[in-house]
Amino acid sequence: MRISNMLLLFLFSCIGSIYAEKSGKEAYKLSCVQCHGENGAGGKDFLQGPNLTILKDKYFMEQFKAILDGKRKGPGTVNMLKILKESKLSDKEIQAAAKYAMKLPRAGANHKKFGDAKKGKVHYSTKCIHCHGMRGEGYSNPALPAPRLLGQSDFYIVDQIKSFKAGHRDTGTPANLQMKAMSNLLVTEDDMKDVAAYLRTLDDFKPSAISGLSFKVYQGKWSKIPDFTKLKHVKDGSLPNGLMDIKASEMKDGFAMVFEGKLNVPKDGQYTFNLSSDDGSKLYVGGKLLISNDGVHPASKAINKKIKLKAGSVDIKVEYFEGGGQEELNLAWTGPGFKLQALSTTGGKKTKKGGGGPPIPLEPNKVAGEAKLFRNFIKGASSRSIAVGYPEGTHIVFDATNLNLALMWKGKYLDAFAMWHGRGTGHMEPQGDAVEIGKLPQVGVLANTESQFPDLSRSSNQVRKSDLRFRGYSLDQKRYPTFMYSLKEVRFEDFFKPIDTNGTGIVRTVTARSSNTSNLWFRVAVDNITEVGGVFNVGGNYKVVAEGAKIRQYGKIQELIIPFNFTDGSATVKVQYLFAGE
Amino acid sequence: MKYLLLFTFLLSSFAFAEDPKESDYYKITDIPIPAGITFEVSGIEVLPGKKIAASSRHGDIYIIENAYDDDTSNDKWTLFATGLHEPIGISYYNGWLWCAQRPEVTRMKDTDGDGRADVFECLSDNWGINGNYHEYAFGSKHDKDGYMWVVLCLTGSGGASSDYRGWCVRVNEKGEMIPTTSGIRSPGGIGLNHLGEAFYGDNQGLWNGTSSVKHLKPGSFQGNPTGNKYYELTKAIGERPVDPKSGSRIPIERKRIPNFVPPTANMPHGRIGKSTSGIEHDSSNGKFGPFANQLLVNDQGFSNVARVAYEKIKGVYQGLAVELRQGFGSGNVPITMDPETGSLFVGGTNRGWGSKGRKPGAIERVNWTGKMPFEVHSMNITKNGFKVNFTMEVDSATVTDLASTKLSAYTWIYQSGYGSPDVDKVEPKIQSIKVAADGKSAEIVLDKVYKGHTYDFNFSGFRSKSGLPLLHKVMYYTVNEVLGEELIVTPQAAPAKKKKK
Repeated sequence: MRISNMLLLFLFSCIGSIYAEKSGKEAYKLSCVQCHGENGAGGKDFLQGPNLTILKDKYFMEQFKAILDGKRKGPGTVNMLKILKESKLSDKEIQAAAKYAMKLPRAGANHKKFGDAKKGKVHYSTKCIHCHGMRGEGYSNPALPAPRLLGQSDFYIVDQIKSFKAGHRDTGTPANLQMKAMSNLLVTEDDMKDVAAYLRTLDDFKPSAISGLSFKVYQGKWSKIPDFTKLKHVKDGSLPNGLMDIKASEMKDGFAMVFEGKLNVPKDGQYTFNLSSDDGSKLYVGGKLLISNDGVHPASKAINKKIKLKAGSVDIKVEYFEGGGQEELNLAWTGPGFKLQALSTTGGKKTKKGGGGPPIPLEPNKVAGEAKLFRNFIKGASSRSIAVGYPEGTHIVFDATNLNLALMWKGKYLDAFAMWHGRGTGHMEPQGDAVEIGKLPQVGVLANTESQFPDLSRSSNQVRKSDLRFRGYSLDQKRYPTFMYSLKEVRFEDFFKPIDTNGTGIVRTVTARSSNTSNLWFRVAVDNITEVGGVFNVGGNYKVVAEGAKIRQYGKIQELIIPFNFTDGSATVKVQYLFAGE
Repeated sequence: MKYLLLFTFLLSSFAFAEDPKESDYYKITDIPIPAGITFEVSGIEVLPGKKIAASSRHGDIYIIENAYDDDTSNDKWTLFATGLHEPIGISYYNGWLWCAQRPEVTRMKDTDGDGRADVFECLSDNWGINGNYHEYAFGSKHDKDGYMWVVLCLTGSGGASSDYRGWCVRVNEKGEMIPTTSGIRSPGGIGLNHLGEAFYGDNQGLWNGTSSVKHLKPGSFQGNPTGNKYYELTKAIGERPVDPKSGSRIPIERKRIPNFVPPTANMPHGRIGKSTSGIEHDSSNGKFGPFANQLLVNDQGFSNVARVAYEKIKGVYQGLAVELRQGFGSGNVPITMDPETGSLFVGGTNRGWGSKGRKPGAIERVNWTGKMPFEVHSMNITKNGFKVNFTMEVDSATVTDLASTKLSAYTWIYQSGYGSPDVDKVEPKIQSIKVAADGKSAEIVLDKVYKGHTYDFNFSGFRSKSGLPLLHKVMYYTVNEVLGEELIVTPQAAPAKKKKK
C-alpha cells in the first residue's frame, strides 16, 4: 500500500514536470483577458468585467477570494467562475494571473456614457461620498472600507449596484451591509445610471504622454548629479506605462537614474513643467536643460518652468540622484487644454503627500473688482499669514507675526486643497512663483542714522516679545485691506495696491500717526542691495523704487531704509515692489 | 466593538412602537445650507433681531435670517465676513461680532451698512501657533465681565510646541489676555453656565482616559501636563504644579496637585459619545423643557446632545451625564441657545473626524415640543448613595423593585498614554430604594460610595405613574467628592496598554 502510494506520487510529480507551469501573464491571457482585456481596463458593456487597474491591492485580493469562494453571486461572477474552470488552469496559476493583473499599470476604462451627472452628483454626495470619498477614491471611512470607484466603467458600477440590491454580494461584513442599505436608496435604474455618470465625469485619466520610456540605473555616492558620460550603468529597462519611476532602480540610497523617452506634444503652445525631487534632478526637453533642481534636498521645493513647444514629438530626459534618506521624483506638466498631468508615478497633485485631490482654487472676484483676503498657513510665510489676492492679478502675503510684506506673486492666487481636505494638515500654496520679500519687522525707532534697527521680531509660535503689535485691518468697498499695527503709541496703516494689471508689481503706502515720535524709520529690505538709476535691486529677487530710500551697510550685506518725516502728527512712506523681470 | 456598535444601532431603529421617542419631545429642524456653499459649521451666535450668525471652518461667517420658522424657503443667508483662519466660536458683544480664530481673538463690524464686515480688530494674538493643524483655538460667548474664554489645543496629539498651548486664556475688549488655566489637551468646544463660569469639552487621549466636560476654574490645572512649561511665561495662576504620575488615578493625583480640578462629568467613551465638543446651558427658563440651567453638551462623533446636571460638592463640580437627543445631520461642534424662544442651534462638521451624521456640514434648530418627557432630571449625591430626581411622578413599585436598576462603577487610568479602558470596576450593592412622598424623587442607598468613580446606572425597569419607561435609561454620575467616608478603590494592576487607533 505504502509503496503504491509512493509510486503514484512519483508518477504525478513526473506529469507535473512535463506539464510546464504557466506564468501569471500567460495564465491571464488564457482566461482573464476575455472580460478584462489585455490591459486590464475591463469590458465595454453591461455584465462585462470591471477595470482592474484602479483597484487597491487589498480590495482586489479580498474580492478575488470572495469570488473563488462562491460568495459573490452576480451574473458576471458566475460567468467568471465558468471561464476559470474551462481554462483548466491550476489554482497556483490562477493566483499568478491575479498577481499579474494586480500589477497592470493604470488603464482608462470604457464607458457607455449614459445618465445625468448633475442628478448623480446629488445622489453621490448624500449617499456614497462618506465611504467612497470625495472623488470616488475609496476607503474614505475606515469603519466601512469601500472600494475605489474613480476610473471604473459606468456600466460596471450600475451592474454592481443592482447586484447589491439583489443580494448577490452579501458577504456579511458591516461595509457590505451598509452598501446593501445604501443601494436600496438608489431606487430606479436611472438613479444608478446618474451616479455612474457623475463618477464618469470625475474620471480624468489620460494615458501618459511619454512613449518609449527607458531608464538606466547607476550606483554611487554623490551630492549632485554626476557626469553620466563617465559612468557605467548597473541596470536598465523600459517603462511601458510611460511614467518615470525611481522604484524601478530597486535601490534605496546611493544611486542615480536617467530616464529618456519621447514626449507627445498635442499642439503648439506654452507648456509648464513641474519638477520636485529628493535628492537632486534635472529636466531636459528637446535636448536643452529646462529645470535644474540639483543638490541634496527634500522634495518639498517644486520648480515650475515654462517652455514653448511645437506639436509633435520631442525628446524628454530626466537625470536624478539619491544620496540617502527619503527618495522621491515628481514630474508633471500642464499646457493648452489640459490640467496638471503626471509624467512620473508620483508626479502631479493627485498623488502628492497628504492625500490627493482636485485643486480648490481661490481667486479674487475679477468681475466685481474685489480683492480676496485669506488668512491661513501659507507656504513660504509664517503661520499668521494673511494672503490678499487682488483682481489685478498680483497677490501678496502680509505677515501678521512681524507685520512685514512676506511674499508677492502674480497669476493664479491660492490652492486651498491641503487645508480643506481631511484634517487640513498641509499649507495653502501660492499658485504662482512666489517672491520672498522678507521676514523681519519693518519699522523701528533709531537713536541716530548709524544705530541698528531694534530687534522687534517674533516667531509665530511665541508670545509677543516687543511693543510691535498687530491691530487688524479694515476693508474698503473693493475689499482691499489696510493693515493696522502699532509700536508703542505710534499707529500704522499699511495699504497695498497692484501697480497695474500686467503684473508689474505692487505699491505700498505706510502711514504712521503719532504726536511725539521722531527718528522712526521704515526698513524696506536686508539683503544684497544695489542701486541703478533710482531702482534698487534686492538680492536679484525683486526691485524697489521708493522716494527717500537709502542704502546703508549692514555687516556684509545692505539695508534699505526710509525715514518717516512727520508733519502734523503723521508721516507716509511709499514703496513700489517690482518683479525682478520687469 | 465596531460590529457591536453597528448592531446596537440597527437594533435601536426597531424600537417598540409604544416606547417614547426623542422626537416626541425634541424636534430637530434643518436649516438648509444653500447650494454651492461648503459650510462646515464651527460657531453659532444669536444676534439682535432674531438673526443667526454662523461661522465655518473655511473662514466664512454668514448671517441667517428667518431661521426660526419651519418654512426653509424664506431663509436668507448673507455673507458677512470671509477669509478668517478657521474661526471656532463666535460671540456678539457691544455691537461687535467676536471670533476666536487660530492666531488671535478678533472682533468685526459692518461700519458702512452694506451688510459686510469692514473692520477686523485683533484684540489679542498673544499665544503661539506653528502651522500644525491641531493647534485650534476655541472661543466662548462673553462672560459677565466681558471676557471671551479661549482654550488652546495642544500641538498634534501630545505636544506643546507653541506658547500657551494646553492653556485656557481669556481676552477682553481692551485686548488684555489673562492666562487662566493649564492642563488642556484637545478641546472640542467651550461654553458658559448660568453663573458665567466656563466649561469645556476635552477629548479622550493622552492623560484623558475618556472624553469629559471640565470646569475651567481660574487658576486650575485641568489634568494634561504637556503645556505646563508655559508657567514660565506668566505668574497669573501661580507656580507650576508638580507633574502628575502616569498610571495613577485622578483622586490620588489630586492629593499631590491641589489645583487639579477633576472633570465635572466623564462621558464614557463609545457609550454616550466619543468626542465631547460644544457646550451651552439651558437659559430658556422653561421654554426648552424641564432642564433649566443644565449644561447641553455636543458630541462630534456621536452627532448627539447630552445633558450634564451638576452640583457642587465640597467646592468641586460633579454630576450626571445623560443623552438628550441624537440624530443630528453632521458632527456636532457649536451649540447656542436663544433664551428668548428656547431654540437651541446646533452646528456640525464631519471633516477630518468622522461622525454618525454624515453631512459635511449642518446647522439645525432644536425645539421642545411642549410634551413632558419622563426622564431623570438630575441626581444628588447623598451620604450613602444618590437621590434621583424625576421630571414627573413615578410608579413607586417599579422604582423600588431592585431588579429595575443595574449599577456598576468604574474609573480610568490617569496616564500619559492614549485613553484608557474602564478599570477598578466595582458592583455597588443597593441596600434600598425609597420613593419620596411626592413621587418625584427616589433615594438609592448603597453599601459604599467611592470617590473618583463614575457610576453607571441603567434604570430599565423604572416606569412613570402613567406607565412610561424612561426616555433615557442609561446615565453616568461622576463622583469627585463624597459626603460620607472618603473611600478610593485601590488601583488594580494596569491591563495591557491600549494602542492609539
